[in-house]
Amino acid sequence: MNQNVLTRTKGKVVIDNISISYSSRNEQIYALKDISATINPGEFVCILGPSGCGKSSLLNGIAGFVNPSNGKISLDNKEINKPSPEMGMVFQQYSLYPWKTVKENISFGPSINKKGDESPEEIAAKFLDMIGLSKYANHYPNELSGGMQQRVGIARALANYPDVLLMDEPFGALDSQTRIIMQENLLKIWREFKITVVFVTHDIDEAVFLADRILLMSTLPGKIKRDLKIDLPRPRDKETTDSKRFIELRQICHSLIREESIKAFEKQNQ
Amino acid sequence: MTSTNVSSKSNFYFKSFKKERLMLWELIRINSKTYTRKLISIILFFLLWEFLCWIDFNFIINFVFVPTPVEVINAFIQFINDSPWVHFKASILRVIGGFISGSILGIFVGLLIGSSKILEDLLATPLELLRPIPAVAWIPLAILMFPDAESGMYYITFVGAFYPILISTQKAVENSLSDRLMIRVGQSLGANSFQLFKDIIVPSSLPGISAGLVIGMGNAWFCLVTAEIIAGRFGIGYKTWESYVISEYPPIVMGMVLIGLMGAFSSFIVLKITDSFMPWRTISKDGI
Repeated sequence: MNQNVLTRTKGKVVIDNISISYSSRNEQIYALKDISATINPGEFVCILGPSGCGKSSLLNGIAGFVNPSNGKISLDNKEINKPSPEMGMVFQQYSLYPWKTVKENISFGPSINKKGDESPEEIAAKFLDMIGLSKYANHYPNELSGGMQQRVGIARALANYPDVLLMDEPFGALDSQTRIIMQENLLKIWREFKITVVFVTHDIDEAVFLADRILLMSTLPGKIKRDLKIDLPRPRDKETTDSKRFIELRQICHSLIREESIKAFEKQNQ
Repeated sequence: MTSTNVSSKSNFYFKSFKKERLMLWELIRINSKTYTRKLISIILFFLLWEFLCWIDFNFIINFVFVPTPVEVINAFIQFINDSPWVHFKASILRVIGGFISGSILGIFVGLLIGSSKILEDLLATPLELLRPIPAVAWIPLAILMFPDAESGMYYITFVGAFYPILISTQKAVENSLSDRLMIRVGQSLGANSFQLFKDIIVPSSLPGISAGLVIGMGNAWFCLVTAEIIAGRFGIGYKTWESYVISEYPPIVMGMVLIGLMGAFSSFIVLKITDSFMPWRTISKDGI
């Protein structure tokens, strides 16, 4: 798996004209309609949109939890139709297993997909060290703060050495100070692993700060309204957020999102 | 105890950090308030009972024929002096036998019908039809179906233990299955159905199964008197039933109290054992 990291040829996600629908009270409702996008290996892509625009549905489609009603999503030319350890997922809520210690939570993935010659315990120790929580290896999740739990969640998703990391508003429940530190740490981890990241958020600052590219979504049915390249230099830090370009990009996103939020709000009221 | 954080290596919470270093007498001192309150409640209970007998209370409930606590204690002393161990041993074995077989079968079938629609369709209806039948109604069949009285008695305590364990396990599994997030996490980490079941469904169902085991243990004792109607010679329940047949009242109440005590004690043991399987839980009842 380590050679993937070096060559960076794996982790290409192609979304080919997909729609995701669900039926509600005998009515077919499209969460997403005719979406296409290509996410390149090693790219950090944020999916940004107001709540209810179907961005989580898109992520669940990529993860293989939901199958698109038409079109297909593929990872490295292989169609995705069920969840697989090639894609690590970090969830919005704290989703650690309360009955497993921090160490056991991280080593769970490696212990069921034995590959390579590192033992699950070695992998767990390595990732605990990376997220700076080695001291808490034998603690249970409910003894940890929200930020710490989400760090463990990220380590658990990475412990399978996935090609793609999918993140569904992972920092949404954290306070703003912790969130900023988590964002900086995530970028550090991403630089180290050079894996593809698909990050769903409704927070404009977060998206602009993290992404190489932002896919801005429109609502009802969800579509990609704009594919925005974020040309801010890396590595990014506190200074980035004060730069003129950051503020410009944020402004662009802001006006696009505002339009959509108003539209969604009015649709809900009809 | 105010905190039941059992994580042994934990020094994260001050409470549990402190608890590891407490001596027994310190624990008693800290909890003495609770113990005092509990003791007072028991004393008040017996005083009220004695008082109601003493005034021959007779309004809706009639206390005229109810033996007083002192008479019950005398009956107990007499019972103790008259080789009580055969009775204890017989009853405890019947309860433990019924409980263990009920637990094994209840958990096993509960896991099956909780997680599989096909097995639920195949098994649940007949089990559900048999469930409301009271232990007493099983006596004739237990005599007819089993080779000897002893196995019939095991069967009746088994029936008592089996159903609460079965239903709790089934519902706990269904509840775990409804937690889609936990299952999705497992799937995204690459777990197959068996691994999901073993590492996610079973551990997250443990609190529910534990509740079933505690109730099941209580129910096994509950059914003991019924089971021992067919005993013929030994057993606490038999003793109680026999005293009723020969109209000797104090030993009836003594039997009831003994069954109550042993039932409460064994449920407590089951609770402690199952809790030790769930060290991750931190339960604090001091202000919800």
